[in-house]
Amino acid sequence: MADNTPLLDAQGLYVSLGGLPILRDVGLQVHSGEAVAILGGNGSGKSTTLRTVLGLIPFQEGSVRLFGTELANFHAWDRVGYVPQHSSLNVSNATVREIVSSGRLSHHRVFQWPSRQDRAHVTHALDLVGLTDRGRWPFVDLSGGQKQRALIARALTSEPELLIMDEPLAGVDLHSQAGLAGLLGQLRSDGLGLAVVLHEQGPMADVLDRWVTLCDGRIVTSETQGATDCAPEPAKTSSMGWLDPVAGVRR
Amino acid sequence: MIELLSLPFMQRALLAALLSGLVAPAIGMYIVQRKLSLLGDGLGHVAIMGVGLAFLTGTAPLPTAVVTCVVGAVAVELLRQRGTATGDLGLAILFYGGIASGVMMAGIAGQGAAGLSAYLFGSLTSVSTGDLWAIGILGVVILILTIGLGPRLFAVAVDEDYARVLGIRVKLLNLLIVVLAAVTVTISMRTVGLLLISALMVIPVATSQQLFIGFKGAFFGAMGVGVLAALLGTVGSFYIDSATGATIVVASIGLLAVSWLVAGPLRRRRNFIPYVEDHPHGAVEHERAENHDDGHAHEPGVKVIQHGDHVDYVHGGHRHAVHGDHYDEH
Repeated sequence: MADNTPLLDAQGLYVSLGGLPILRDVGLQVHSGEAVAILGGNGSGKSTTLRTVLGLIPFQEGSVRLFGTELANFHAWDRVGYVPQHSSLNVSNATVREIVSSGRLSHHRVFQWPSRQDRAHVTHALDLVGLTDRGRWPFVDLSGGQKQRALIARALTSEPELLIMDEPLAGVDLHSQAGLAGLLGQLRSDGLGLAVVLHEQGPMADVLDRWVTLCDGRIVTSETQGATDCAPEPAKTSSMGWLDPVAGVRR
Repeated sequence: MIELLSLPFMQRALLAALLSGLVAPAIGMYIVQRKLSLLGDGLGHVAIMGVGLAFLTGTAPLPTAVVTCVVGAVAVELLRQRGTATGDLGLAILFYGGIASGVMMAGIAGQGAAGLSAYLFGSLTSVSTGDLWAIGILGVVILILTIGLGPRLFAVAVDEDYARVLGIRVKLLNLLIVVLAAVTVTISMRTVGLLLISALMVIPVATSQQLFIGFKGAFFGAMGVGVLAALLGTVGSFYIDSATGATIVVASIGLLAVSWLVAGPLRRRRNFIPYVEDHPHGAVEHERAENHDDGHAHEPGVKVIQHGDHVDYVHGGHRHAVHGDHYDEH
């Protein structure tokens, strides 16, 4: 693979759910060793963008390429890690290790059970997020922040080249946030590509290379600087619009 | 016990019951995890249609019921994946249509309710050698699939979206689970009966989850509990002269009650958290807790909870938090 091929290349995505437009002309590129933040308010389409590029939500227009391959033909899922919002998890009494080891499945053949090597990967991932001694705990007994760290460990066990995360630091205490940001920065320097939805930049600010801000399903900024405010309506009328009788009638 | 095992029909009965006890909780584990506990009951209704159809056409009940129930299960899953109100209504129509048409066809074939009841509530002592072979082969297939595909089925049950990003074929595996449930229901119709088999898919799982931490532990534990319930129920029904299927289900409920008695006090002790009112750090008069390092917090039995702006450790019935170089007792 040529070095300049983006790990993730989404262009001109249009997504509508139940007739409502959710994303309008959204693009997202992530290269190796690059961390891109997706910012924006509630309902701005951040999570939808991530879920669309992963193929979890169908898009009506545009294109998604992962590692240079069209999404429909992409099968190398062991190169992709995903950290969803933890509220979607359905566990009764699975242990933390069991949840984390499912991250290794993308490397497995269909009837394969975890090997000694897999267990070593799981232990290493738990070490990385500071949950070394929580492996045998029931997942439901963890605090919100620890659950989030476990989900990050689950994504890291597959040793992904592209990591896609949906508010990974939500509910994580400040001390661990700094630790996780440091870890992600380290992995980025080793060549990991990151796309991360954030509510606020917080301790991730030092790790991030680019910021994409979404507002109402559109990209309002895509810069190397911080976010701008999201205007409720795109300013299409002239600033003197309130004086214009025709515009007034139209409204 | 010895004279009981020397009777050939009892040997077959016991073998068939043990197979049901082993297989039903294995598939039940995924059914419970996906919150579809009543699915088995609905599939039992569909299987009644298969039995009626077999009576009417004069074919062997077991293969006909397996095929009918598998077709029904595929319809159930496709309706469920649509996830709409019409899908829900469709399930109800399928289930009641199944039982009504089954009873109707059995009646036309001249078998009536009496002929059906051997399948509704089980008739273990009438299990033939041919039945036993069919039950055995299908049971082994179910075990190979539920254990061999275990890690994948677990991942799908926990988090479908994440499983998709792992490249797992989620819809196919969801379909497989209901098809295997359908086969389990039908091969158990002579042992526990179509109306009661659902209980053997769910209750041993609930029992095992009381006793074992972790999915894998609970999975094999549930199979053990199922086998024990089948053994107790079969032997018990012989001595107290009761219906075997019903006795197996009552035995499994008895085991669940025992597991509550055993696990209840254990769980309460593990989950006990002394109550502390919310307070800003340092605002409350506090005593210094004994000085110990953070390491003990990672031992089993020590609970860590977020408490406002800091983290509390709960162990041995008391609760404390880190404050600089020492611990505050709450």
